[in-house]
Amino acid sequence: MGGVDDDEPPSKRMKLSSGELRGLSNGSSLTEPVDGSLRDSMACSLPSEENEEMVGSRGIIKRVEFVRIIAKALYSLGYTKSGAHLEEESGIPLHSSVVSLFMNQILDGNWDESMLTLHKIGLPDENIVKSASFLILEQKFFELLDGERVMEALKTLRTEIVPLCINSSKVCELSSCIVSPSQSALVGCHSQGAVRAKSRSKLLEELQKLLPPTVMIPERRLEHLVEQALDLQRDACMFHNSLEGEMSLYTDHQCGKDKIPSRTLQILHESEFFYILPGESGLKKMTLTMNPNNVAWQLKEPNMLDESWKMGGLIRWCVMRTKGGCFLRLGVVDLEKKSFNIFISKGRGVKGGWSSMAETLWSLGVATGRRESQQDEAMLLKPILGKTFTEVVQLPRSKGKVVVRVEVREEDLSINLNKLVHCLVGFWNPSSARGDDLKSWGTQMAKIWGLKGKLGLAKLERGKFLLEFELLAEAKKALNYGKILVGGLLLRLEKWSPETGCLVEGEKRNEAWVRIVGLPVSLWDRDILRRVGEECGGFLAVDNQTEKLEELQWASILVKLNGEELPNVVEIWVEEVNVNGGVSLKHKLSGHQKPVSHVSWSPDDRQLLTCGVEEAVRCWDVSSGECLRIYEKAGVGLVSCGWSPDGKWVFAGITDRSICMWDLDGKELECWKGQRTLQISDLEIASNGNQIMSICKDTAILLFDREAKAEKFIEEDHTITSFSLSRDCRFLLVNLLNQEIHLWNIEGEAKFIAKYKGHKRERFIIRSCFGGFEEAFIASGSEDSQVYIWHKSSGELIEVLPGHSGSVNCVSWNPANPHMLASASDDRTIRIWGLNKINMKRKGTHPNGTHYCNGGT
Amino acid sequence: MGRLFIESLNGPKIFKCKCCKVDSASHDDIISKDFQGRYGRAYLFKNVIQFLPLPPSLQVNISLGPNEDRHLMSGLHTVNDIYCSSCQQILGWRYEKAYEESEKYKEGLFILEKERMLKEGW
Repeated sequence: MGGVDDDEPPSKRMKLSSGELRGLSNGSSLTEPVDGSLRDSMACSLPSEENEEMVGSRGIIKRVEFVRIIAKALYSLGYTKSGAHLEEESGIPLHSSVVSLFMNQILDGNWDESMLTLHKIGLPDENIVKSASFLILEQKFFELLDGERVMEALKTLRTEIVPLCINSSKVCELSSCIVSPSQSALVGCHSQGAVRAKSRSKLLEELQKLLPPTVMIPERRLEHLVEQALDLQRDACMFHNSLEGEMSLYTDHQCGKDKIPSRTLQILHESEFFYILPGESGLKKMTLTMNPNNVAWQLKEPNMLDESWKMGGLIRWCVMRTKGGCFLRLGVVDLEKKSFNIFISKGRGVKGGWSSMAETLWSLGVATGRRESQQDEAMLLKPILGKTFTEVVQLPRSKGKVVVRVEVREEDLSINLNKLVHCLVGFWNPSSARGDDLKSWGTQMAKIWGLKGKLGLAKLERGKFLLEFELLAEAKKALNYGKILVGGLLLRLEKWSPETGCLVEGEKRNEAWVRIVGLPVSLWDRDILRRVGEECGGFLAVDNQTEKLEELQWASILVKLNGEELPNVVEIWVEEVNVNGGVSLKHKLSGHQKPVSHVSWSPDDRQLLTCGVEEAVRCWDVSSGECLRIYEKAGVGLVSCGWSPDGKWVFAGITDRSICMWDLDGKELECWKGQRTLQISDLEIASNGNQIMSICKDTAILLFDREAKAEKFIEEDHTITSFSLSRDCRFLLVNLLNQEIHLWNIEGEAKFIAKYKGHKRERFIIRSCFGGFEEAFIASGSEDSQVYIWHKSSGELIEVLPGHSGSVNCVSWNPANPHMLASASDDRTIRIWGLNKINMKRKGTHPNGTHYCNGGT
Repeated sequence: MGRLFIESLNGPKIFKCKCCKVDSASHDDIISKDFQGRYGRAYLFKNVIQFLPLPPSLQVNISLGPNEDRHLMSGLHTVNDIYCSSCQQILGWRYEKAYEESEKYKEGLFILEKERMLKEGW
């Protein structure tokens, strides 16, 4: 602690605290605690309750400092009254009186007095005094210049600034300011544009930085301490995987494991997968198969042309059970490059549902994959039946008109007939008005007619409703009117007759209520139902209960029949919106003859490079799925590929142990002879475009700097199987043969940092990746079918995710969404992992979004 | 099956597994060409790919079977069969232990059958 804070304690202060102050500032012995134990005189660090000199449970915070910092914070927050009160109450002044005086003088511009006060503060270091004086005098100088008092400024310069003998270059600049006023604009530190002195508060700030912190508390010290604490908490938080704004001061920040993706959100079925790679924006994923086909999947984007759909093949299916029923969901793409989900309801009775779909597919001669095998199995199990699954399901269907006959006597009807005497039937033109707001019509009619009795209204059918009058006389009166204009609608009134609302024999009903069974509740929207109705022949109305979502077993709509058969199955194709980021197939890129071993996204995510094993490299356009270019080299095969970060060049590793570079037109630009390029080597290019990384020996990775023509090596003890680069290109994750993953820092000299263990690797190439918020986690696949996640800095294994049923070959963490992870496995699926949110479903009407469940693997 | 991690050999003349063309041994390691295997001629190698100096758990390209006692033409030996790691073909065997003094020199050496090999680089 430097300098003495105050010369004499002001009378206001408590005796005890002044004693503390003096004792502390002098560094001399404190008032001894009452228990008299022998302690070092500089016992600042040992807690002693009687003194109350230290605060906090550990007794390492000095009360005086604490209070002063708080007071400073209060002042800077603008609570000057509170600050002053705190000073008074605690008896600990923020600044000693001399310093306060000094500060006020600076702000008022009393330069000479402030100089005197400065000396009174009693700073030990002469240089500080001089520098502070210089600053003050400089300010004085500039203010004088501003005020056009040049002679005085000159005097200041000569008599006051120069004798300080410091900063002589500045002095020269200052003198040049006098000569040419415009110079002072160039002086730089007074960067307010024109020749203006800087503000005095800014001067105060600069002085604050100069003077020791005990004299003048630095600005925002308390905030700085709190931020430090938050940073420490965040660094200590092992599972921290969320964006910034979630740290609270109330509790220590501790993320639970719930911020790490640990729940399978989606399973994608296709052939085997070796490789997953996120695009730069994290929106896309890519997978490869062992077949000569190349499959690309995309996230959050409308799907485009897909050839296999033309053949009627299914791209993706899963069985969904929602409140609306059980149905099969298929993701397909149509010729117009739109993606759709087809929901085929399971169907009950009349509606064929799945059976009719299966039939259709069979008749098309298309293999239905799993479904067929299921049916085959079913058939195998019961060969005696001699009927297919579809036939069995369809048996109870009754299509023909069955007439039922009931005989009724007049007396049974008498009660109702009596009531109906009071009733009239109102007719209105249904096409002229939309809703049937019976209630408001009722009140209006009651008003118009001046009814004394009650009036009941009930809807009979479209365009007809029943009015029940309590008083017979009123019924008759209304009937006499014959017509009434209500709500802009002309109503015809008639007496009820047994024929009202009935079909005349032979008359063909031209309306029908259609029940849509198995409609997913997400599609229960009036507009969608209307469009369904239109397709059926003409939409007329939605049943009340459907509209209010009271009856969820089916959706009921009234449609016009145009003389055709009632539709049995409705297919609703929903354009893929992917509200919660579902992944779906975008393209199948075919063309490689050999299995595809390596994939690389272009930096702008619009193109994709794929490399076949010892074959050619193809460049594809992502949106159209076309192959733009094929890069080949005569006589040798290419093994890996990569983009330069500016997207202008394409690199490839070649079996003859060299690395080749092409530009986008296919012209070969450069070729480097490497020491050794393994057949399955990885190739990465750092973001500055200059560093190329490749496995050069079985135990070393070569980092080749193109510009500097320098080579750096990462040497390992064991064979390297694969590696991956972090997004900021500072770290390299190396997978080794001996089941370890090593982390290297490749900035400057390559340094080994950490190793991660626990997963299993015996025969295959397992890939790992960085991921999570600020890439604080490492994820890797494993041959024991699980995904392993470690914390990068501590090396601790945080999560092991079971779920796959085969070796997990590759994992990839979405760079844009720290809560999403994808893993690819030998069980021919890709799993998308997300957060383990409990209570995703809400009771009641709408489930939120589509609901994925395991497709029965 | 996932992508197997496979090494490749450096030397000019290499023996590869006939089915899957995975490198097995180098011509430089041949000690004798005068052996008989199950299917005809076989060569004695002092090392196959990556075998020495790595421990058996870190093998690539080939894997070893369990110890077996076999009566060969030259006597009783304890041998391990050598399998190609990608296609699981038996390529030969390794002498673990020999019970006759005259055969002791074979311990730790490898037999690869000529019929199961492809030659490359000749």
